[in-house]
Amino acid sequence: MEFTCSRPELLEGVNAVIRAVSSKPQIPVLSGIYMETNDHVLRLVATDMEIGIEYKIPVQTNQSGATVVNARVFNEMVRRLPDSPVMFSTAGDHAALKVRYHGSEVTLNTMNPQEFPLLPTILDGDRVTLKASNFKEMTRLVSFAASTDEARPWFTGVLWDFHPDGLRWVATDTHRLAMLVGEVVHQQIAEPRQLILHGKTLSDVAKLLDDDDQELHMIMTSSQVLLEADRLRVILRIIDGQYPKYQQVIPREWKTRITISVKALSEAVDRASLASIGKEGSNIVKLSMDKDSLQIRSNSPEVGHIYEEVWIDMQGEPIPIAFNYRYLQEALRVIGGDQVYLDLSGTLVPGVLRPLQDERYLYLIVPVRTV
Amino acid sequence: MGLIHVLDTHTANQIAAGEVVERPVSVVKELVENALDAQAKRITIRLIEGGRRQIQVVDDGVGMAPEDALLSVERHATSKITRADDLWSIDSLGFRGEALPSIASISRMEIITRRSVDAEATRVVVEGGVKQDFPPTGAPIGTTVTVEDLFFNTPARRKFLRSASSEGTACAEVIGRLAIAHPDVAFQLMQGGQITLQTPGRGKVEEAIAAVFGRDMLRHLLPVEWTAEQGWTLHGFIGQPSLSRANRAYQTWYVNRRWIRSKRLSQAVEAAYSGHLMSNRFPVFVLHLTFPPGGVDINVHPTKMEVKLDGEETWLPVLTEAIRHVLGKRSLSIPYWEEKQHIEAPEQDEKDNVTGSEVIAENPVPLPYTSPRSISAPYISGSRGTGMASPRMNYGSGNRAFAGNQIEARRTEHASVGPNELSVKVEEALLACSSPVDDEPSVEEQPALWQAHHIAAWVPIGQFRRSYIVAEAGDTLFLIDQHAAHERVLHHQLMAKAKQEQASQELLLPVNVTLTPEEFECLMDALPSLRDAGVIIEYFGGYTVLIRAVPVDLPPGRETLWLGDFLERRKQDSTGDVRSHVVASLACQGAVKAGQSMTHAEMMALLQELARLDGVDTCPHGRPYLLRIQRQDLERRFGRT
Repeated sequence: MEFTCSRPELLEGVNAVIRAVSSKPQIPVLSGIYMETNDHVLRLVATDMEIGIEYKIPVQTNQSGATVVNARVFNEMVRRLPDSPVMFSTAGDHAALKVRYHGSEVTLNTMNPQEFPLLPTILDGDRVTLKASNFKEMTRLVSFAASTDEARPWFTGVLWDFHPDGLRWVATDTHRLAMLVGEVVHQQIAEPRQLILHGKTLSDVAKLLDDDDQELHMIMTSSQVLLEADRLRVILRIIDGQYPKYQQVIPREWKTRITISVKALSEAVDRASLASIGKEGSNIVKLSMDKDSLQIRSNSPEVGHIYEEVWIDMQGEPIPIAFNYRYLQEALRVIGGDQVYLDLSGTLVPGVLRPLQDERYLYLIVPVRTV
Repeated sequence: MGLIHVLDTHTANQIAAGEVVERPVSVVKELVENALDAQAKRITIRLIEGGRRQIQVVDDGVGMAPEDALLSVERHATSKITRADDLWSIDSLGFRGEALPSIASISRMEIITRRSVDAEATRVVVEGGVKQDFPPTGAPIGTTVTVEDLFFNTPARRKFLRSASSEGTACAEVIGRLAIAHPDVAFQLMQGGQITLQTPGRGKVEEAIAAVFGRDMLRHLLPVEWTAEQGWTLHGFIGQPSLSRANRAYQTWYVNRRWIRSKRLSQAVEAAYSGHLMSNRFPVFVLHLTFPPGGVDINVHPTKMEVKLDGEETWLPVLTEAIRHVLGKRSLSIPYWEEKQHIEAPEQDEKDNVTGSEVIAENPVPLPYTSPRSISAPYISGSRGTGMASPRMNYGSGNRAFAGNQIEARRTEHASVGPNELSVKVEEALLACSSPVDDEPSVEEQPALWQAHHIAAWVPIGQFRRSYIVAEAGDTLFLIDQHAAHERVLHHQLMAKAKQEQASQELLLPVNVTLTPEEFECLMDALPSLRDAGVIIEYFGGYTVLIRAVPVDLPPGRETLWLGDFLERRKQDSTGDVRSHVVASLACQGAVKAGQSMTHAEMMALLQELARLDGVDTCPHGRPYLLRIQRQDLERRFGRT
């Protein structure tokens, strides 16, 4: 194997795949990055058997071949390389990797590339094509609502609900729920299906998609999903488990609709959250309203009382309600647009935030019962 | 002829003996108390076969006149009170005048006594209540009572005696308790020719405690000194929560120097420990309650183990508060190496480096140049004004004398331990336990008082196995169990919050949990109280329930685990307060887990939170969360000093 490449491209590739390298590899070879060069393309692969990432970069291939190098060492070395062409070569399958730049040379130990579990080639399965921008939007608007608690793994994921009308992404930790309607470019699905993919991993993948206009192809089997973009191939494991019937918990109607500025509400909630500071702090903000203003109150014995007022338009009767301020804050940080609806139906019924110009998204918060 | 007749003296005595004398230990107690009432300074007790064959109590007290000696074995003959009114102002241990005749009626008893004014000693022998007079004999000043063949004429009782060793142990326990109450009296217990207990009798309670309970205990004791408005005083020692025991055997109460048992008193102390101890663990303490005469009625039971105390309900809470206060002021953290510690006080400049630490700002004094022990110094030395300033030389030489004594005492038992080694140990233990009564502040010998607010100045170095925070402060390295520490912090915060309004987070999707029948029963009992604590659970059918709302402080996804933890607590303590069980389970479920990595900022934040808890270094289960290692210890272990 022999190829020449530049440092920035190589670093990009290593950074992409290193996310899949486990800190506690099940088998030693998984601590490595698989490198294969062919037809002026270098394929970098890493996997921890949960997720697998493959990234391709253009190189000048003199002789094709494959090798595996320790990921941590290789990553550190690439960072330290000069910004000039670097030549990599091995003599034979099990030989050390020689790295030459200027007049210098580094020789790295390698592992047997034949032991490396390459990503499966998935040809059969349901297929979907998405815009990278839409995928990124999903990770921004939905993923954060997933739970971080591994005890119930399905809640750590984002539900991909494919049905005849299209695709819905849903995430919840049972205290709040976010839902976004996906924009499918192309879809070829045998029958409506649901699958759960780990929310955090999806966010990581989104970061690897630099070009918003590129298309993202997905092939889905019963246990795995392959995501393919220009240079990137990612294999994700589908999380086992039955996702709860989310449609049933989303209120279809509202009794009171409040129209409110996202910025004003976000700032008011931020200030009200001061009451959460300290050992007797309270995470609760109490909302009350009249015709044209929303009052937000919070208090704690240590901090004191905070009273905020925000101008609103209200349709319907006032409904006093209390929320954990975090759940409001987190949503208001990601919701775009100027204004948002807050739809309420009762003191103990979930409130729903919907951006004014965007029918595709909703964010539901379960209220807090105060005694 | 009438059926009713007056019992003869002998029978009456035997009946009385049934109340007062149950076992050899009762005899020992009565005789030693008599010796103490006779102002003895040295009391030697000899037991043969655990007292079954012979009990001998030798004192150097005032002794008795010949006629008194004869009278002493008569029923209700006593020198301690003269009329019933005296019962209200008793300051002697005995008063009923029943002990000697009772014992005499069921054993062969010999009394040899001499007053300092008498030239010769009186000898009285009583066998099964039959008095025999003997000619005067020679003996040292004081009284020697020898009781042989206890219960020889009451075979039923004799049959119920336990083995020699268990009777002997019981005697040793009683002698130990009496010895602690009378640190100014030198006690010596000899069993089968060996000294098994010996106190120096130099007026230091710690020395007596060390002799009875072992020296290891000393480092874990906190002095208590409290004078209540009502006129009673409380003093003695309480154990750090880390020194807990599985039963109440290490709880010792003295009321007006009389050893008593009182569940209500013990419970009042235990209340102060709540949240510090694991369940079914009990604190260790040695406490003296002193009432002005008239404030206490001790005439409840012939063995005087129980007392009646006036107005308990009003002053027991004060007692709990006093203990809580002491616990709150104690030095934190347990040394990693159980040895003598040379602890330096935290240095002033080190604290100055920490900016923005309000906690430190409140305590600008270079704190702990008073050790916790020094509070007790006046009490120990008995001279309130000068206790602190005793010349150092006396202190040191006194120690050595005591150490020497101990070596003599222990040599018989631990022949294998070299005397040098032993003397070092003894001295170390004593240095560690005694207050540094010293005029010049010598930093080396002053144990620092590590208090919670110092934690704010600690610097976390890192995490070990993602479970323990390693932190440093000046010359000390601290190991902190992150889960236990965080649990304690949360517990504290949640307890504070529990007083405010309750808020419960509704769940979007109720969690259903299937329980065992036992758990289900347990849950149903607690259901109404759970609602008040912010947990809304509904019956679903069978043994399945739905969790609909949980307290806002429970992280999402922990509902099932929380319920499991809560039910576990209920099972162990089904009568306890539901709210506090809810809080305890919330703290446990909400706390950072072992194995969870923490950032430096998170560790700092946790330390800042810990700094707000005064006098607490155990998690709500009572496990410690703090260990410390001194630089000096490390240096010694690395051979650098």
